[in-house]
Amino acid sequence: MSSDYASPLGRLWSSVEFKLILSWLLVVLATMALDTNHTYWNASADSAQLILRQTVLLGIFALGAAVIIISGGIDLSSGSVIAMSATVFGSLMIVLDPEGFKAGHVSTMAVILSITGTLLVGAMVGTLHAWLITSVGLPPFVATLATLVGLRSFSRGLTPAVTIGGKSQIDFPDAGLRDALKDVTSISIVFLFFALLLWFLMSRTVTGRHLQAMGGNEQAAKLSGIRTDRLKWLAYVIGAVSASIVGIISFADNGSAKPDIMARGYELNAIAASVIGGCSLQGGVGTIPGTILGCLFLRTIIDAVQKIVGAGADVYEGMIVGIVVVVAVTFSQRGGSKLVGKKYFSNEIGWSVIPTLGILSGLSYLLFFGSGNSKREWYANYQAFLIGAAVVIALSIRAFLESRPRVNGQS
Amino acid sequence: MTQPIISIQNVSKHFGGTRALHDVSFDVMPGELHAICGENGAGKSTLMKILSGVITSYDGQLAVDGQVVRFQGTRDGESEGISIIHQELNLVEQLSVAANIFLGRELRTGLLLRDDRAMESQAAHLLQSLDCDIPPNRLAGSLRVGDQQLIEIAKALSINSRILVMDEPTSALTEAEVARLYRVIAKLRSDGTTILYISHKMDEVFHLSDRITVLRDGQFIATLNTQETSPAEITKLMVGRDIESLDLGARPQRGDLVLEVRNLSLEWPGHARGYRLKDISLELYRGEVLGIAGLMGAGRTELLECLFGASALEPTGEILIDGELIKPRHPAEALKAGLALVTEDRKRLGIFNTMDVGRNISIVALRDAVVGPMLNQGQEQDLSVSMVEKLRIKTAGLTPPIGALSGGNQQKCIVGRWLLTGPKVLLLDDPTRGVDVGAKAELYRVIRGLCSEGLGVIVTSSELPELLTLSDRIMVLSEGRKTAEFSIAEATQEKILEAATKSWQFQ
Amino acid sequence: MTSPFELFSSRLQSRSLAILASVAMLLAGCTGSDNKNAGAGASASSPTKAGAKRIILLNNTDSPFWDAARAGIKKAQEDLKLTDAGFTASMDSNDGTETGQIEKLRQYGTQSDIAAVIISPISSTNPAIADELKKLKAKGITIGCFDSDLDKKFQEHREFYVGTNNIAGGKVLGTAAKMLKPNGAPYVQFVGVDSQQNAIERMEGFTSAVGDTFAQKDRKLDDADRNRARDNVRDVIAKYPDLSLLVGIWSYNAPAIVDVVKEKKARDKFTIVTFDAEAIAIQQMAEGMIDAMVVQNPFAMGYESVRYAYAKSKGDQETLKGMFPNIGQPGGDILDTGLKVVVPPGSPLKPEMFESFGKSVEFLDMPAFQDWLKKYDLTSS
Repeated sequence: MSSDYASPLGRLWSSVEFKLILSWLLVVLATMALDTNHTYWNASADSAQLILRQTVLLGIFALGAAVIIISGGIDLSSGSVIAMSATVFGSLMIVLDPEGFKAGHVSTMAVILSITGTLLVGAMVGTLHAWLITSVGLPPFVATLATLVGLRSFSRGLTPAVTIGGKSQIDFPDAGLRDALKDVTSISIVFLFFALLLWFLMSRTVTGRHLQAMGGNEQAAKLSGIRTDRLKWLAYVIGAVSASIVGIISFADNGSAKPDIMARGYELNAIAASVIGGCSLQGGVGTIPGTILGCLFLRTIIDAVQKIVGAGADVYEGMIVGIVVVVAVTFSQRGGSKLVGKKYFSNEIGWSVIPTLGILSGLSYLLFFGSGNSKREWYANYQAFLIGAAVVIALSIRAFLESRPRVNGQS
Repeated sequence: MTQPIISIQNVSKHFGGTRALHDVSFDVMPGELHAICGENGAGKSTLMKILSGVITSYDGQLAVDGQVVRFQGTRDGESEGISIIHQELNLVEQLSVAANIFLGRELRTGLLLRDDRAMESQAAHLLQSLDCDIPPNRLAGSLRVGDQQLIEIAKALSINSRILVMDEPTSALTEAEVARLYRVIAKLRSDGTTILYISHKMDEVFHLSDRITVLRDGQFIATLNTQETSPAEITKLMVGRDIESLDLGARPQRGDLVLEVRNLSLEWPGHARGYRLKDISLELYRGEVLGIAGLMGAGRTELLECLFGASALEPTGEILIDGELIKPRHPAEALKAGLALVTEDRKRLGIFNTMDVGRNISIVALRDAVVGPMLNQGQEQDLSVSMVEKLRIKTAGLTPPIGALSGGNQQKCIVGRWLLTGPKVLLLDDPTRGVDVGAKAELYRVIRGLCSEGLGVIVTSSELPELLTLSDRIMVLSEGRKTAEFSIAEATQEKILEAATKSWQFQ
Repeated sequence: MTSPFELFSSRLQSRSLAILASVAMLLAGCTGSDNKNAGAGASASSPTKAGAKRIILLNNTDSPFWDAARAGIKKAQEDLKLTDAGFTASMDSNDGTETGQIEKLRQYGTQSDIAAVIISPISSTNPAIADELKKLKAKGITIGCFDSDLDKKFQEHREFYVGTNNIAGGKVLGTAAKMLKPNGAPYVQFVGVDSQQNAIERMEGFTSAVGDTFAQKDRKLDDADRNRARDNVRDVIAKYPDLSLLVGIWSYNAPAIVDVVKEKKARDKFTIVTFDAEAIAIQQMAEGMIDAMVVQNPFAMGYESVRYAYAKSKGDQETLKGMFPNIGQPGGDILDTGLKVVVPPGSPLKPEMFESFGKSVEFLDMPAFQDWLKKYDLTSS
């Protein structure tokens, strides 16, 4: 419809950001209704603070990841850079002010130098990525895969060298500094500042436009006179520095830096949040506000699962995040009316996945119910079977309806 | 009364905001060569895609041999005996020629193994019948556009379709290759194949077709017997108004020397010849158009890439703009020196698919729309709008995605993109490929206008008539060397062809 | 051309799908949680502020070691009739990271139905974990440690510790090793992390008990990754050719050591002493693959923790005094759940060798230990 393009209201209505906000409100309302503890009512300040903290911590480096994705690259090493930065930050403080660190009062000068040093190391990692990708010619996937494993190993070697007794982690004894660095207000301000900076860069400057163009078609960008090598350097440095910032905060938040397991798998959260927020992994598509909303949405879903399911929530967290990513990306990329009419089950693959979906639904139901309460176990088994069968029947009906030839079709 | 082999009934199709086809109905008789003519955006390609099963959701219906059909994909089209040779090529560059020809219908050795040998020999056979000597195991991506198109034709031929749809098949072929294609078409017709031939080249249409259907703005206008009509009438129906013969006005005065190239050479490591370009020297003056003619592989595109700093290896020799030596190693440097290049393959090298029309136009000139560090969106839009107006680009505003525009209008956007930089020298690599009559005329006028504004223009083209219309001087390349240079007064198609086919003994 | 209204309603359709999907999913989660938390008593449709109060035990990383503890928790729930009184007790598993425990403690902080949190802190010195415990304590929640304690400087944040005296445990194992190898031997200790207090104390206890004739060649960490645990054993066997004593500190290190020794057919070369009795390890000792096991009592850890927490909530001073008679004095807030030394039939180890440890250490041979397990309906400890 031409109104899709012409009217600004039409474009707002179909934009990823708007849909995300609506979906987010939905999840919050659903949690409020279903949480038996009414935590959002009773402890609203605490709950909001918790979600805010999670969103901010994810958001800072997810924005870095988003910039890289929009510019056509990918960064698998965010989690490792976070772990490495936490280790480097701790190490720098130990080296610059060993007595103060041990006693729990690091000198301000040492703190400032350590923060600066850590951010610089982040920039160096970003530069390394850019060099591997542009001059050496490695695909971004491979280059950041190398640092994914390499940096952790490097940090594990560093830790025993700087700690007393050659320990495998660095503890953070300075309580005052810790509180300052992990305080929700201060990290939110850091996040806000960072987000505004990146938003301005991406949507209001020539460089931002060039980054998008490069992501959309690198060869055409180069032939348009855009310095693609320099832009890649900028993107990867932004990505690595954003992870370094989170490394510093995480060191304070966790009270320790454990390079082998810290922030493991975080890069996937950042990529998921970017994609939910509307970035395309092919490059050239995506916004900063979208990514922020993506982070908020993802963290709220996870929090909702923990509130509603209660004990053992993180067992199901993975499944729920997986489903959310699939649903969110499908909706954000196509949008609205097209999806209802799309053919999901019209070929052999579609048919053969129906039993899988049915089993998955039934089993999931069983797992939610069956464990723990032996009295109702048989009942739960029976219900699970019914649910599985119902799903199979419903999907089969849909598949059958889809396979009927359409006489009057429209886009 | 023979039954039509294809009957198109009340077919309509929308693409988001654009109405590509509206209530089109006509018949195609078996065995005829039926030409479909129309400007860009008339709906020809869309109709053919519906016919061959590429587009599956549309209003209206299609009947083949009297039976209503509803294709769910190209396979359905193929099993009805319809296959299409696209204007935008659909080859897998990393696979060989033979693999591309048999893609999806690979031959097997009895069991499950691929029979590469049989495929290669059949492919060689097919290519031979097209008078083509490309070895069947060459990678498709290593061929130039013209050769790739031959592969597409071979692919369609290998299915033995009884209905062949050809969408602007000769747009990237040389004269010799066109003649070869005509021979093939004649052979197909004697076998009884029905051919739907989309073209806007009147000489082809009148040479080949039995009947002509004209579409305009997505609507059916008329079907005429070729014998009973004339190119002028068809063009008038296509455009909706009388087209005056192309008069570009007086040639502008030639100004001073703006571009000088001395002994430009470009290596080609690993190739027997050893070079892509050897000792090319030329002069370009302000206000003139220098046409560069040559066969595929002669080095026309490589020459332009070297001038623009876009070649993979650094060339030797000297390039001077306004007397100053430049050594562009990146398009950004060439841009600064006052050069602009409109590339030959806009789908791969020109268009930003993720951006809308306005941004595609403004992308190079953004620094002219800044206030401090910030982009001023109003100024940016003004820049894009100025080009839309100047080049009469057919678009529903600046906001539709670039993919919604027809090929010709996309090309105009790219030309407009570069005009915004106010270059001294404009390099155009086959700029009217895939562009219809009306738009071509506009582009010629624009080029002439730019010359009067003082630009120097270099144009390469495979269409000799076009070069003869546009250029003030014509330079000919053959196998990487400059073989001739003519002024427009002394140039003829035969002389140019002779110079373009001059072969060099390896020294 | 579709009218704006049609467009709106079709968008609405797709959005309704999304709403339906998420509500359905969350509904499933909701009713599931009610089943877990409220049991047969509380109704799902009217959650009130006086809903079930939760006693939560938060472990460090999931492992069969906790099965016995879960059994203890369940037994306490039945014995003390917790559900009738509106309480539930359960164990929450952590993923082996400090971040994981910090996150969970923060989640508990936002919930209003928690009566007690008893934790096995994966790092005894991590100030962030201590902070979160402090915050929970300030909300009136009973805080305790089980299985592993906080570092001395943070112990003010917890009221009690229920678990093994790990230094003693290490010493007991060391004594067993010494008796098995009177002339000393080079050895390696295997454990998950070196940050957790129980690991630190056991390893130090072991080293101090065996004395100078024993040379510690290495300490291998595996982060609770069983594959890595096995790889570590393979590494040290290859690296130290004269190695003859292998020491497992955490429960799954025992099967890891035995698997590799079996694989290399080197049983005769090594003396194997381990902590805890996972089901597999018990089987392996019956096959003669393990020379001595020092077994903790996770069942008691679970049981006693719940007992204390419940008593505290009810203000039941008598029970509290009974459990911790010396509370307020140094060491008075520790409840030692005791240790068992279990040996295979025909072992040269005798009960007299462990008399110095007093009542808290019990000596059993395999059959006697298996009887004990049966008595409590356990498969491991």
